[in-house]
Amino acid sequence: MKDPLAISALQIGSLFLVAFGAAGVVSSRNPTNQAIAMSFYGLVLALMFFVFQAPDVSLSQLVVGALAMPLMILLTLGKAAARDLEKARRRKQP
Amino acid sequence: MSLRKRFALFFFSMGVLGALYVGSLVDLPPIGHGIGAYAEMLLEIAVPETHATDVVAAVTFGYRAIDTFIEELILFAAVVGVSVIMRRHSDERDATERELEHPLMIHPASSESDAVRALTAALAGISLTVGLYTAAHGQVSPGGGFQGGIVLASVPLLVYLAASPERYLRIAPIPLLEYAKALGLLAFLGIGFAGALFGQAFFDNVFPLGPRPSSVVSSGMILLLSLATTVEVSAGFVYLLTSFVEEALRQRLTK
Amino acid sequence: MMLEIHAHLPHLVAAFVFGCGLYGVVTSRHLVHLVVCLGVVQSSTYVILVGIGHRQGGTAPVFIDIPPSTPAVDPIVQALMLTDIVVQATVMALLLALALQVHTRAGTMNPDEICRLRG
Repeated sequence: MKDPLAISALQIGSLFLVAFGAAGVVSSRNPTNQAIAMSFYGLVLALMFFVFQAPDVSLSQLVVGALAMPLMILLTLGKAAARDLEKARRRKQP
Repeated sequence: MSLRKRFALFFFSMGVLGALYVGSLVDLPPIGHGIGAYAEMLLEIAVPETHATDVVAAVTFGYRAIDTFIEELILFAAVVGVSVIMRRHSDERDATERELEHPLMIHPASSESDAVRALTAALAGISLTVGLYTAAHGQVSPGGGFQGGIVLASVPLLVYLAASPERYLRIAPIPLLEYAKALGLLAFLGIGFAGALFGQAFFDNVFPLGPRPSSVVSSGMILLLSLATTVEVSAGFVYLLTSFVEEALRQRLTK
Repeated sequence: MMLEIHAHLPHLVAAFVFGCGLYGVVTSRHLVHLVVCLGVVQSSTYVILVGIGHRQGGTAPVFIDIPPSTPAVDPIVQALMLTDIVVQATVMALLLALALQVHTRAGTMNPDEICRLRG
């Protein structure tokens, strides 16, 4: 085998998961599906930070990426749908 | 431009950029051996100089406090921007107030599922404790202002899911959030000026450093800046969520 | 001109994530999808910063229970990433609010159709 690798097998695995997750987020065209994919991608990124010996960054990324980001995406989509409904209702009653 | 032309331009430019990038990777030191001289020096002197065992927090709130200050300004500006953009038109605002004053408006719950309500009610207290712990122990173990602040920001959200929109607005009223946000930023700036007041540089650590590195109350300015950041980040995030969730609140109340 | 893959894996993964995100931005048909792909582009910088700051056999730069002379990974790039993550969330919230306003004025969330409609 080669002389000891600078990065361990676990770290290589987490990098591949990040690449896979990024491709997954981009290929979800429907924004509602993308919010769930983004949540998973945030978790995978937090895992990568943890495996690369960065616990502070991992703490930050966990709450932001898995909780706050998908929440804001879903709320934006909800608001857009609600405004569409409001507009349709206002057009029906002149 | 059409989709085909966009594709062609994208792939051509990414091809050129990719070739240059891979060509430049050859001269970089291999991963694991490229750590810089600044980092080596910092790892040696950070713990005895600042009495903070978490060197990342010592860098964020001590050695590079001015970068963190500018990042907090960006955060503040973005939150203010969201509140300006989400500002309602006058006719929409009157409709909301009329609905809120309806006499039969007893507090409707946010969620019909008992499992969601039970789980979030249990998690709210735990999240609050974990958030406060993380924020207060930033200079000793992994944690600090930013991490603790965003964990604390999820607590009103859990209360919203466990109870009703009114309870959410009662524990996180908008004027309180605005004051807390501004107070956190001003406290950060004020602590930075304390260095200048005592005759040293802006954002210099002039506060008492505590008895030894492993105690919680140590490292002077780092602890104080961490607390100021907690207040600002948590208030800012809850304010963001409230701006977005206003529509859901209004829909819930009109059902 | 030998390029050892395992010696530069984080840099290559960062380039791949950047390319994915940029492809998503270029071919997007929904404004919210575009904003999320912009977030993916931003996360590629975290991958490359992690790769730059790594030290072989290094541990986390927290010395509460280990002697301060243990070799640790770079704390400065971690401080950079830490504040950047929180700021990324707020800036993306701002972009989402802007997308919502565009939807209100132009009536559509498709970036291709917005140029043709007048609000």
